[in-house]
Amino acid sequence: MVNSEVLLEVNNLKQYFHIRNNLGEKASVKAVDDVTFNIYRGETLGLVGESGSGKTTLGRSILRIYDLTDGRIKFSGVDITKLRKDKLLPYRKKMQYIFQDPYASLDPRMTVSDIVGEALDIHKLASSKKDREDKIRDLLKLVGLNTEHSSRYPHEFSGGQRQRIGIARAIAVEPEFIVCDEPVSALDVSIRAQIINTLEEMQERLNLTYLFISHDLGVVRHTCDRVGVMYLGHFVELVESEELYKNPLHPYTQALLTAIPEPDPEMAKKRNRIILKGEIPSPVNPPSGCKFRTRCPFAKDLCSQQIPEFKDQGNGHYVACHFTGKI
Amino acid sequence: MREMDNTAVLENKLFMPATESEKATVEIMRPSVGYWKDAWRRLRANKVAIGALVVILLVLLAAVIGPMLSPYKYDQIIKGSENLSPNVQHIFGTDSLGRDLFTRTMIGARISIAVGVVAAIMISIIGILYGAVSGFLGGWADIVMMRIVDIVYSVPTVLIVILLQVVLKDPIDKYLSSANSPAFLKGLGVGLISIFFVLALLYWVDMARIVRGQILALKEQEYVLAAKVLGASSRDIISKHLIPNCIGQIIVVATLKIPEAIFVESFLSFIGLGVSIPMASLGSLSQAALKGIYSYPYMLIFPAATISVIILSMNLFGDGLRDALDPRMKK
Repeated sequence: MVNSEVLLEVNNLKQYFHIRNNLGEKASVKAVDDVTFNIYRGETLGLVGESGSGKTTLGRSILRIYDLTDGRIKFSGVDITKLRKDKLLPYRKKMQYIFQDPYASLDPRMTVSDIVGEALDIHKLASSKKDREDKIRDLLKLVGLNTEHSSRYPHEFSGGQRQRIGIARAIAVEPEFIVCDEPVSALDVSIRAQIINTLEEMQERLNLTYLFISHDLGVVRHTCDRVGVMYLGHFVELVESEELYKNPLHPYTQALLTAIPEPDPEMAKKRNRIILKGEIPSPVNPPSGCKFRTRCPFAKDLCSQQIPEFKDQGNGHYVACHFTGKI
Repeated sequence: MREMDNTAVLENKLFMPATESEKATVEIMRPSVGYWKDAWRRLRANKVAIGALVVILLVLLAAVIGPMLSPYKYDQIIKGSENLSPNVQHIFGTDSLGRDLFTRTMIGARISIAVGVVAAIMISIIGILYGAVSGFLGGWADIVMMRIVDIVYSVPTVLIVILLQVVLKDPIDKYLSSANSPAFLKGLGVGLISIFFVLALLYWVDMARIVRGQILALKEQEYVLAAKVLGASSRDIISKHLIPNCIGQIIVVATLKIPEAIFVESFLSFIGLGVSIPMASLGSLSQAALKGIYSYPYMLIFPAATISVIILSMNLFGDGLRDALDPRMKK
């Protein structure tokens, strides 16, 4: 399944945003705080967590959309953290992004062929006008759109079709790695499966590696090889997806998993739901020690004093908790 | 009361597959309506705007080909027919030197409209570039650039025109009298050229502000981010994504700038800072008519009414255009 070639190496990535509060004091939002992980070639790494946990920011930081506050990103062995615009261009071709909202991510004044063609133009992938047209047609066919759609504008399409246009734009540059930022959560439930299948088909055909951001644990279980769980800018757990569902070690993951709706009412009654109290704390002023301690049912004194290490518990099961295995 | 019979009889023959012709009736045949077509449809529904457009076209027609059809030239002095009231030969009458006022008014309208259109184009080019760069860069660059706009906004127009005419008179005169200056510039004279300078220098600020505001909002859109992820350069993002998405507002502002420029030109010509004699503009015609206002009021009425008609119809058309291009702005 997963081969061991590291495609993307993220080390101690920190992404802070500087803001001013209404008194004019400077503060920083610690959207992603000290995250380290690898993505292997050909795998799909899931990224889950509630709203505000930093999933999207992490995905965008990896693509160098923001300037990193600290840390390092290596793409197939090359450090791309500090690359300037012109040097970064070849890596822009290798890493792409699929957006959550298919309504906002397509320019309303461009036709479908212009949207997909823009990718080809920037990286000079078409040798002639005819070649460009042929490539656009092939791409549209590949993602399951009609080729006569190419002269239409985005507003003429449904959400699912728009998302297919977004996928066509992303794969137009023949990337190796794609960040899928909740690609199906804005879509109608009935089309989600189609888009997921299209994404999986593309992965197989084009040998893609995905970072799949989602808060739908069912979708993640279906699509991902490994899953990382984020809380307040930190990874709390990272493990192969079957193992995560069978044997969650972090109390936050356990709470998330019990929150998946259970269709069978008998089973639902028997289930022991862990209900988290309160809201995710503000990333401007996060709690000391373990970030999750304010909502953790098992929190002890140690949790407020020391930041738990993100440790391998054996067989690649990473957890950040002081009491791993004891709860 | 009779019991209602709610049962429907369902037979198998009701559940036949649809025939080809039945399917065809459900198919959506209407071609999709694009942005411009949709705007034109809304504009056409606005009777005031269409009326204004017709008036503009008529005035334009008169200004462009009217003088060619007229039996008199605008600077032709007809001895013996000075200060004539409107009559069959001279439907607007003649002025104190015996020149046909109808021809002069058409020439004046031609100059005024040309000033308005050229000024609107210059204003648009400067304003769009400045506003787009300011909005796109954001941060400190934006703050500094917008303060410059505030300063330009506060400069008094008349003062700058007078100063420019004084400063530019010599160099422009020298340039105009040199052999290689284009012929059309010679007809304009120092006054008109400095009016162009002033309009270009001072009137782009509205356009810059509006474009900047639009771009500030648009640059946060995800499709701009998508272009960045693809590796598009800032120039491409501005020219291919940002400006096309605020073209509606740009056209509206540019259209409303035409009457404003016409007004400025007329006003400056009226106080004697505009076109040089014998060239006429609507403002200078009005000014010339002032001397005889009690005896020959028609000399003032015709050019003044023409200015009003042009400005009013342009404003009404611009308003209609705004409603058509930007339906959200409609109150």
